[in-house]
Amino acid sequence: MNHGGTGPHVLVVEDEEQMRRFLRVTLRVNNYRVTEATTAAEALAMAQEQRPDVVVLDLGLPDGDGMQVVVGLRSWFRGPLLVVSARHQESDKVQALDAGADDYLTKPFGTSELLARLRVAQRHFARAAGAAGANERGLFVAGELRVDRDRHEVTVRGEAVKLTPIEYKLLVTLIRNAGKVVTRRQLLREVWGEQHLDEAHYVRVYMSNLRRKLEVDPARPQLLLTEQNIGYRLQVDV
Amino acid sequence: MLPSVTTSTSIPARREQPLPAPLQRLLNVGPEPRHPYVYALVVVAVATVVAFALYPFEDLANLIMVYLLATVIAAVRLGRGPSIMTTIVGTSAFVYFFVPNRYSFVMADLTYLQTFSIMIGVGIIVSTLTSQLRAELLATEARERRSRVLYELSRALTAGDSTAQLEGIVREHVQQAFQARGRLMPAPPRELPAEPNRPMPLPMSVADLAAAERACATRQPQRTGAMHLQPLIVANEVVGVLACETIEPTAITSRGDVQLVESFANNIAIALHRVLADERGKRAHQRAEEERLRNVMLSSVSHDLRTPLAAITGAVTTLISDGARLDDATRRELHESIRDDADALERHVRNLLDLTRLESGGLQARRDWCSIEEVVGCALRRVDSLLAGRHVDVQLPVDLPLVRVDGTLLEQLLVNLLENAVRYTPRGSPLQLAATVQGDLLQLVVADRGPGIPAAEREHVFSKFYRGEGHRHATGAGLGLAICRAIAHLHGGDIHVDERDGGGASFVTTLPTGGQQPTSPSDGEDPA
Repeated sequence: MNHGGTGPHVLVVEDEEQMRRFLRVTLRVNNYRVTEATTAAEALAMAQEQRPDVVVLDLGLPDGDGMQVVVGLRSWFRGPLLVVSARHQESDKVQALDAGADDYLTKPFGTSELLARLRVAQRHFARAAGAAGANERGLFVAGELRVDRDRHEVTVRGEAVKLTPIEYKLLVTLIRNAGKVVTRRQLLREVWGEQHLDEAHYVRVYMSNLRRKLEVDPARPQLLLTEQNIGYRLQVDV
Repeated sequence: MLPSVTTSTSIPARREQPLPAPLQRLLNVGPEPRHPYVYALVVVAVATVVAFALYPFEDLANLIMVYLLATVIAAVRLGRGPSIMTTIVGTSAFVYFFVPNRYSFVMADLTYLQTFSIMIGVGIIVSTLTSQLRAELLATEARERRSRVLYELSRALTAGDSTAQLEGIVREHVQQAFQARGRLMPAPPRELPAEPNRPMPLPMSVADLAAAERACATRQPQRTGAMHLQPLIVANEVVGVLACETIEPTAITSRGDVQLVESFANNIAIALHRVLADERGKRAHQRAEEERLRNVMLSSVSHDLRTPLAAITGAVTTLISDGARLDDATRRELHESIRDDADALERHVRNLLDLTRLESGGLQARRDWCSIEEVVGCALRRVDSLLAGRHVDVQLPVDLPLVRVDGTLLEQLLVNLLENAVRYTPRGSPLQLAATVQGDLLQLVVADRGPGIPAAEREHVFSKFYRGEGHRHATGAGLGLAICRAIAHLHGGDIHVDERDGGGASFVTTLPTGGQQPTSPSDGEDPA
């Protein structure tokens, strides 16, 4: 079931024919090779057999939980995994992201959104696969923000910004996942540790502080975007 | 203890002249003691002791006055019988202890026999008069108490506007007036299932229920054990039954009590009749309103779903059949119209689903400590393309605390308000979005410089499928503001629209902040 293209190989797991057609056409035009699966079982089998580079998975599969596929895939699959879900399924999305999905798309979504998410996820994996720690160090630039992670220096619009240790840790965690959504739980684990996983308001308080220091207008953030009820995303141009 | 007469001011003026204060104090007595005749003997004994003390100094004619006083006191405190006994025993004691030939009933001087007879006569007359006065006073007080409880009941009943409220009022007032457990049962009387949140009203046995039905059928009060069942009759119609259960089976037997129960029943019957008629009217109105809404919804939904669908179908068929012959600009225009119509469809379906879920109670607010700044940021990002470069003046105080709300729903509320503002105000006119916290309340204001909303329409704009005058053909089914209101209510808040100073409309949402702020994490302040 390999179709066209010479670029990365995408496994599309989607039970609805119309959505599958849209994904197939769009991805092929953009030089992806596309394989399709319609059930959770088929998806897991196909992934084993075809070894795709990227998986795009609809969480609302009929034969059971899309979650099952996320967990099953993540036991061995190291590539980017995007989940697609309907609105009103925030808890499913968060669960999938916490179980190892890289990002999500909410139906209905446009082509540009799909391709941007795919590019970010692929880039993230490419970087992570590079030299160990390469994603942890060095200079990060997004818009007017420059973060020198070797010297712990942050500048915005050319001016040095003083961050508290927690704010800096939070920012660096977002930078490591630049462009990708990071759930609040993931941030709590990375910044505050396992024992604070239920203190979601910590993140809100510190994100607010961070925005005040880094954004021109904190109510209209350009860099530190909120994904309501899910988490945060450090916006980068892709 | 019965309250003294002078303290009651809230009742209609009494017919009798008030008694002089000293007499009132003397007569202001509680219920008779349990053994009045024993007390009568005690009174005589005390009088005798006093008389002994006075004997060396006073004339016998004065000593007898001590016994006369004893008679009056007994008449006031103990009633007629004991006071007559006080007279007889007292006079005998006087004869025995003090009349010459002391310590003997034999009198040396027979003129004392005359004294003795007059004394008995005076004693009996005083006893009779005093105890009549006393009975009258007690009756007056009882009457007064009855009119007071009745007045309080009728005042409370006028405030009740549902059967459940009346039930509560009746329970409270029957308890106060009769020290009885009372229950209001609308006709036909039946046992209610126990409700977890409401204390079980007066539980009733099968026999009690049968008696209640009998009271309805015969229109006569019925009695079972300690239960008194009074039919509630208004305009020849039995609307229910008042059930009273006293601790002692003998209560509610006195004429006064029976009359009071009847007066209670009359008042309650009128209130119940009014409330039942209201409730019937409300239900009928509700049904008519539901019917109207269903019709509006069907036409609105079919219009709002079909219009974009028709446009999409038209554009797509044109592109398929004539695509090759169209110039690039036209093709692009058709594509854009398809995208816009699909967006409109999506928005409309989303609104319908949201409202259905909000109204069916299928949606629980998942409250969490949210930053208003983030919610506002998300909402602004979502309406960004719709705003088409319009200026939104955002006013958020820096020290805005976290607020315990469902962030997704609050974001939706703001999105709907902003969409609404964009749709009904002139292109390019500025908008304002402001948040403030005062005490326990968060206030969110979305204001515009559009034409404003006429006062008569301000409440209606939050109704489903309502479109303002002059906007009958606007796109969108008029669900956005209904959703806003449902979201505000779900949070225990509310939303209304005001006129804005300087022109325009100002939509004000008020939500509870959720109380105590969560503890903030600590952080060293040294910069990294």
